[in-house]
Amino acid sequence: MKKTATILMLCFALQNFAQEISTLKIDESNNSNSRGLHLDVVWRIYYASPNQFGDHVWNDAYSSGFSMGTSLGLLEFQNFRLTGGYEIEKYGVKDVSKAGNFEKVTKHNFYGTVSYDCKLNDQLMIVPNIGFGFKAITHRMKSERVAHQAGDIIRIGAFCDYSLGKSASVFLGVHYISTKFDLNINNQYEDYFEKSTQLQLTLGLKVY
Amino acid sequence: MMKKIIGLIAVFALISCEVQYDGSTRFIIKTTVIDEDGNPIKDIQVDVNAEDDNISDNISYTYTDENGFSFQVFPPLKRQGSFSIDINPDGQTYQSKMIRNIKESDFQDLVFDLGTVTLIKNENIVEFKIRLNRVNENNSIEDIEINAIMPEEFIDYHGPLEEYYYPETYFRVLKNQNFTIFYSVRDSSTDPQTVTDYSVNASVGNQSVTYQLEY
Repeated sequence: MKKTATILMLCFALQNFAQEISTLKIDESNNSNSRGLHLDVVWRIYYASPNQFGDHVWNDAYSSGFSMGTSLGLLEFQNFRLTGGYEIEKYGVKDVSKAGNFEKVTKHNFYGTVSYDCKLNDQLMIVPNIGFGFKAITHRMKSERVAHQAGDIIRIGAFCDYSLGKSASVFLGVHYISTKFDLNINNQYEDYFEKSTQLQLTLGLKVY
Repeated sequence: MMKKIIGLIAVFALISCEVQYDGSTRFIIKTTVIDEDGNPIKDIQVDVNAEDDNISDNISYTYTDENGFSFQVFPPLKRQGSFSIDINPDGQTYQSKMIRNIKESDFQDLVFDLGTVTLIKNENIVEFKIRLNRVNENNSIEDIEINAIMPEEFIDYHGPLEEYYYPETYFRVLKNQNFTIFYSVRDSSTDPQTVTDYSVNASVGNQSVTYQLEY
């Protein structure tokens, strides 16, 4: 259900972005304090560092490689934003006995978040956010996709945006991401193989 | 509209390609490796291979720990196939041993515990060959077995994969042991033909032996 809702949210966001802006504005008031739900585009692109921690197979048997992500926020209501995002994480296998003899593992993360813009001053803004989504994981052997796996994500964290001008900021982000995999495994080992926890650090560019 | 379609296609293209393994399931294989004196052997390579009609992959490998124990987790095949466990495949110092034709139905609660596997040191293995000498033209050998301690380098988990049309006459055995040769002889001169079972004692020392069997 969460997976379906996230895909629908992401596709809705893409569809709306393709249309004329003037046809989508719900509240045309120029006073930002009194504006209701309205279109306000915020796009982020970022490099991500997924730091696995805890007692689970993703911390012990996999080594993280290149990761990046992007998100698009379209709707704003009194500094609350609805955003859809996508991330790609690359992993190698460092313990074949626990992960299987795969050459590469790629995680595709699709998520939706609700955030709040908390402006500290003209340069700095803190953006706490919470969201959920799902992961689609592909395992590769001999450069072919040979296995798929899926899981549900809960994420919570914040961005710290530093304004570069009227339309762009750079930002740092810290997010706690917990994943629960839908895995069929002996009960004794469920806890170790069915979950992962990571502290994700991000560095990127925000355009608005 | 076009962007929406492209987005949906991209999502489903990522997650719906044909794959060989069931990534949402994990099988487990455990085993303990010891020598002929019952001592655990450390750093023995244990390979798990998966086979079906189309593929043959080394899906997992590891090395035994200080207790001779190995523990391996891997996804099973999507299509019906089998697994084999290859212990010490390079045959260094100790013999190799392969257990073949392990089916998914052999896993209990997704776990296959091979138990304890004994490896014999290569220096303790000699050859025992039987040279057949037919003294009666009406006789033929039906079957030959020996009850010697042998390395058993190839084990079919569900019994022999194929029937052998010729009696086995070459064996690798643990040196310095006594054992018995059991064999059956068919006499085609009688009507109906008769099959008689025989046994004879044999032994090996430190060297390989060729044994002449008259029938």
